[in-house]
Amino acid sequence: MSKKTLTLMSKDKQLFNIEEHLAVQSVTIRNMVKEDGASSVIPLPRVDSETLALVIEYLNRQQAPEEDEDYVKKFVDERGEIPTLLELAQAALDLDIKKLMDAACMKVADLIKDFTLEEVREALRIENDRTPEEEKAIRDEFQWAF
Amino acid sequence: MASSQQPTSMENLPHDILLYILIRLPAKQLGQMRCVSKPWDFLLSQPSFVKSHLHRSTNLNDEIFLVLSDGNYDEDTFSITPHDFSRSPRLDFPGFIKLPAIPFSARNKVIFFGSVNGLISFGFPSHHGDDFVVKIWNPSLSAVLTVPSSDYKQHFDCLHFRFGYDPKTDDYKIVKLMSSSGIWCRLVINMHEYDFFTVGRSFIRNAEDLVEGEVYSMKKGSWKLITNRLSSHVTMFSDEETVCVDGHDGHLHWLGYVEGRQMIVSFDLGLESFGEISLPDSVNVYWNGLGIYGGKLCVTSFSRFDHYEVWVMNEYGVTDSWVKMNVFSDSSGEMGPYGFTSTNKFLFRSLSDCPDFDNPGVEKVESFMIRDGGDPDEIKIVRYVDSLVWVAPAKHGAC
Repeated sequence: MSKKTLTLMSKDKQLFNIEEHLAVQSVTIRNMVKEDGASSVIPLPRVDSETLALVIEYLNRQQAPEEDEDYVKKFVDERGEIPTLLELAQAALDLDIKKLMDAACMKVADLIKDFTLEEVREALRIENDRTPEEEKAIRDEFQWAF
Repeated sequence: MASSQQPTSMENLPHDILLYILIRLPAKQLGQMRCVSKPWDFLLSQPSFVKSHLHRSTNLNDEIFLVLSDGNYDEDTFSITPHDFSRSPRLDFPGFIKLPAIPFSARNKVIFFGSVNGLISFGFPSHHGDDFVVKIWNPSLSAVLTVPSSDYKQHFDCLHFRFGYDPKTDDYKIVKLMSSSGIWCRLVINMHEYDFFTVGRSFIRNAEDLVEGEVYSMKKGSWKLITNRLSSHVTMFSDEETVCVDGHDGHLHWLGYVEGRQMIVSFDLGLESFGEISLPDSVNVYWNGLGIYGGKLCVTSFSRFDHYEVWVMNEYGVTDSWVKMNVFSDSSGEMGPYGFTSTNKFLFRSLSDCPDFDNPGVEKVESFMIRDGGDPDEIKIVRYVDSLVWVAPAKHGAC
């Protein structure tokens, strides 16, 4: 099999080369290749270059299938920052790389698992849209959960 | 609080990603997370989210079984048996599972009706003995619903309860059967203090007895009389389920006698009506269990001294579709089958080795030791499933 190379372009217009047989682990890319041969550059308008570099690193891994699960876990473990993981999960969702997305989401879930409400709001940047009175009312209603 | 410089915020975090993350959190935490914000509260209480979360929990490899003993409601004897626990470092051992508080005097009178989708239903006589208190408990959320008492006040001496789920209406239902003079046998809860009624797993009916039935719908929050009564030719029926797998697909099943013949009595939770299903012709009268195997109705039958047969009904309700799946022998004569789990593991109690299966369509055969013997007639084995299925908790005094 000839080692054909594809070029991916990030949101900030950086180009990344990757061998086609590795790139097609992404179902999205596989479908594009099938459709038009994808000889030109494949634009990824929602993925920034830092994240794309990570995705490429992941796709380039040389792992025996039986070690793959551990590798994916370790890969996301080493990038344990929530914002990075969210970007990675989003890129993996867009590119349809299921294992990577599962692992990134699982890691975020693990990280926020023991968080308090306030910490979750902060980590995922969610605005508390309840007034203090509403907050008290709902906490009273759910007091058994705490 | 929302910061505009940060690239990742709730506003641009795709909904899918958020769902993928939240679905991996334990139910208990998701219960708390409903307080995070209004959109989260909305999202987390959506039936579709609850179902997806449940689907995921059910398909995890973890198998943790709770052993619930009738008449033995006590933290000390409440037993939790983890299986394949090593495969789930993430799941906290459910040490947080605490039996809901009930009056001390009712503890030896509790009876467990069944379990579906992580919910467990049980009941006990009220303090004055003139009513039966019925609960639906979600151990993952530590939430308990006390089912309101029925308006149907006619007095009955004998009661029998089952619990199930109707997927068509996404509703949880309790079936209550009442009779004024039948004999509930096997595990008749000791009622000597309040000699008003008996509750049990089996029922022998005098020919002229009328059996009334009511159904409680969790969605509607009320009881309703079953208009299509249990046919008067059913003379005996019993809840033969030890491993709780029945009632997930909208049907409940009992083994019964119809005009002297053994039959399966079914109840359609959607239509709220009874039906009858014939057993395989060659099944011996010494049956010992009804269950679900691979999503299909099955009967485990004690065929002769050391042999058990497992029959599966391939097409629901079609008598001709009974197929003998397995025969297993137990040379020790000391084995007691509990039944199949939802993952087709066969659980049994035994003082000796594994039984010998001649046709192992069974994934795994596991000896399941329970303290104090664990007579299949007196226990329910329930798979613990982390479940968000909402039961409205009591306003005061969470469990």
